[in-house]
Amino acid sequence: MIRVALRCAPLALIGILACKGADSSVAPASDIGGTMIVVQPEPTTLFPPRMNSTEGLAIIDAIFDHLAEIGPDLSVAGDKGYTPRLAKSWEWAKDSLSIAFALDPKAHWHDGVPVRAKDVRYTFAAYSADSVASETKSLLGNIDSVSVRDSLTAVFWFKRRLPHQFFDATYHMYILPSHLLDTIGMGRVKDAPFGRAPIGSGRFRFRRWERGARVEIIADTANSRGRAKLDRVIWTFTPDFGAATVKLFSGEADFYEAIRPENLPEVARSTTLRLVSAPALQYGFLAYNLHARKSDAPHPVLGDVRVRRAIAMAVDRVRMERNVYDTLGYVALAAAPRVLIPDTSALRQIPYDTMAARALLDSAGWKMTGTETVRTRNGERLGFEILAPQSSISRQRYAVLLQEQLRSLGVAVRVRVVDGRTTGEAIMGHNYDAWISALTMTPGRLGLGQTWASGGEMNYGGYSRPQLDAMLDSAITAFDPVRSRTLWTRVFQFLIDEQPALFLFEPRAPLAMHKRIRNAPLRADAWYANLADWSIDPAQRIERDRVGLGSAR
Amino acid sequence: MQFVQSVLVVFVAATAAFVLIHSAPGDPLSDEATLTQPAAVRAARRVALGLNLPLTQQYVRRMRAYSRGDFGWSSSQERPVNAVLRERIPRTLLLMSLALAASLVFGIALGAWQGSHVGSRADRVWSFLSLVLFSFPEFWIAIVLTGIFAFWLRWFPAMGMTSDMPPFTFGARLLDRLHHLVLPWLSLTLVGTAVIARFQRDAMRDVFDTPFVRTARGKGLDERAVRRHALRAALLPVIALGGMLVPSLLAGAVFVESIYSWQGVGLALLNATQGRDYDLVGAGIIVVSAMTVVGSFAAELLREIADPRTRRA
Repeated sequence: MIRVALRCAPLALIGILACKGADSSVAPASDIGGTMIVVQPEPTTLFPPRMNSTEGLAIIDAIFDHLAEIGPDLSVAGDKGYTPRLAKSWEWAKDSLSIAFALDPKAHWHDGVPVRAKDVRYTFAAYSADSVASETKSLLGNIDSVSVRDSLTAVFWFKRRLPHQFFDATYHMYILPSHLLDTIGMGRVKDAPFGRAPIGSGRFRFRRWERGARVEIIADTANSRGRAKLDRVIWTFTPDFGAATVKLFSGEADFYEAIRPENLPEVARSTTLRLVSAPALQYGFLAYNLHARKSDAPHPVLGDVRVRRAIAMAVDRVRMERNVYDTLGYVALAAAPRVLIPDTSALRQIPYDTMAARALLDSAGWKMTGTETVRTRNGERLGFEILAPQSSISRQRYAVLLQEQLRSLGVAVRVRVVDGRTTGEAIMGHNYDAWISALTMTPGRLGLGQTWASGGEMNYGGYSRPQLDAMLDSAITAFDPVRSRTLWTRVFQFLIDEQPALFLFEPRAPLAMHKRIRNAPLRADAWYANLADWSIDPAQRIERDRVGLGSAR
Repeated sequence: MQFVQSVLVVFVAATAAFVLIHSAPGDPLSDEATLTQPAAVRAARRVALGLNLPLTQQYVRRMRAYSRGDFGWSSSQERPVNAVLRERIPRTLLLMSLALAASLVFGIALGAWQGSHVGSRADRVWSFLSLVLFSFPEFWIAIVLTGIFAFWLRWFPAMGMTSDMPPFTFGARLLDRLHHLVLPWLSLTLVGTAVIARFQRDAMRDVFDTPFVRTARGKGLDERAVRRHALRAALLPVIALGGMLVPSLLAGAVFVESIYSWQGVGLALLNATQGRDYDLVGAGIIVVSAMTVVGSFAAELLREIADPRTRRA
């Protein structure tokens, strides 16, 4: 009976998640006001071109605007689904090699200066400048230039006609105020005080940043798109996960994005907190180094596709996922979260079959005889090391489970739990065999090339197949939706068959928030995307909701 | 001469910090999180931080910058190290000076009283308590205090320097700051008090055995006056100890600031070490060693004031 109850508990939790996740409503006008306190790690800067961490992006997204906002389906093809932000409309050139964005004449920066086309031109220059060293720069490669047609019209010129041109122009860049930045000089702009006290055009304005403690933003009451419903949002910073949960459970904070599975029952029991099921674009995998350590020669073990396929056959990914995430995750299907896979049913997975795995290793020359516990080939033992990050208990668990499952196959796996710096140094120096990686993708599947194409900037394992490069190129450039779907399916299937990594999990990432908070629909790529539409239930307000804007310092 | 020695101490500390932090695995740009950065971006950032230069060249550049009062750029906070120090030093000084002052006042008072009542039941109880406090590190005491006063009794906040929603009047903000200061201050003060009380007690007991006290008593001097004179004589070793307590308090402050998220130099140094923020670590070590040197100076000065015989010509 107890066993049944324990097995049902996670299912009940999912029920709670499902019900509560649906509780996102549009707040009536009377819902104006209130304070939300978010707990998270501290970002290093609030200068948009230098930002890529979720914690910084959440704040920046509230203060700054894109030209247009991607739709809830996260489609990157064309401009379907996009909603106007700083641009009130846009017009494609007949040859589709330029898009003219007409800016909203009522849009103003928080210092009162109107937003103009030269701001858009400056923004592209800043994101593209070598001296700024923006991580986004490589994603803007298809934009040739941005010109100013008139004070309210900015024109993006593209090098190639591609399905994701509009996405390139609107998704990656937050528009910056050129009147505050262009006098600084591109060489020094990233270090300017602007990054610590930014002025944007969003429905929230920056209020203060107390280093090590908190960032406060407040509703911009003069915003042309209407003020944010919340009076203020405070991001309070804690040194670690434990301190963050203490703040959440004590009521000092209202929202925590990175709640861990072990804390979910406590949230479910709480009278003040609720869990919201949020879609996510993260997936995890065992990334192989296909080259020998610090060498261009093939890896003696993992360089052989037969060994990689045998590993995939020998591990029960479903059981591992259950063990680590229970019902709060999925088994990863391919080299992307399932939200980004166009046709999951068309993919053929490598089956869990330990007999076939043994046979495959035998045929590859890795044999185990008599009382041996580890397979050998020409006197060399079949084994490798897995790096697991100190910061992630889930990934450490995966490493141990993999070690255990591969032991029965005669593969000696050594698990090394290391800090982030040691991991980074080992990966960048190609001094590793395999590591448990987790990747958060941007909408579209454009990041696949960076990770798996030959010479891709994040292709640390050195995987290189001309066929895949060609397939990726075709898929990315396909305009026809049906053809695009087919091509992407081929790409994913190729990666499943080739196993440059063992695709393991997709966390479902529930969010914990105070029950009085009414969230707007959550987008998979950014929970914070519609923060200005979040509100506080008037009937459940607490003391900090009644402070109002007037008495703020 | 002492000034030269002090500069030498700080120089050696800065050099040791440079060597040690560069010997640790990784660098400011090697974190797992930076694996998503394009190689060109990482290369540009390495150049900007001077990490592409040979180690000797980095060292010479850093030392030259120190001589100009330029502590470099904090890679973990993306702002000048000087700005970080300007913000953090006063906070650590506030915490430390209040803890040191309280430790001296309470420690001397308690030790003097115990020294005058050696062997009494109260003396034995206080001796036992101070030994217990003396034996535990500050971070352990901080954790216990947090458990009792923050989580159980909920009298004081568990972390931070101010509330996320601070009150809006000056007086209320001051009270809010003091409210947050209590537990970190108490953690440092309890240990400091225990150390000083033990020394003061022994010093008092020794002084009571000296001829001038016996003479004073023999002349029929009031016992309170005798104790006053004895205390002045017994203060000398404790004053010296006060100076020596500065480095110990600084070491304790690193842990206490970390536990309470008190945004001082200690916490900045700890985070910088974890983040391989080379410039901030170097600057933090210089600040800490400079504080230690100043503490020693101050102790010597006080000793000379208290005991004219120790004054140099």
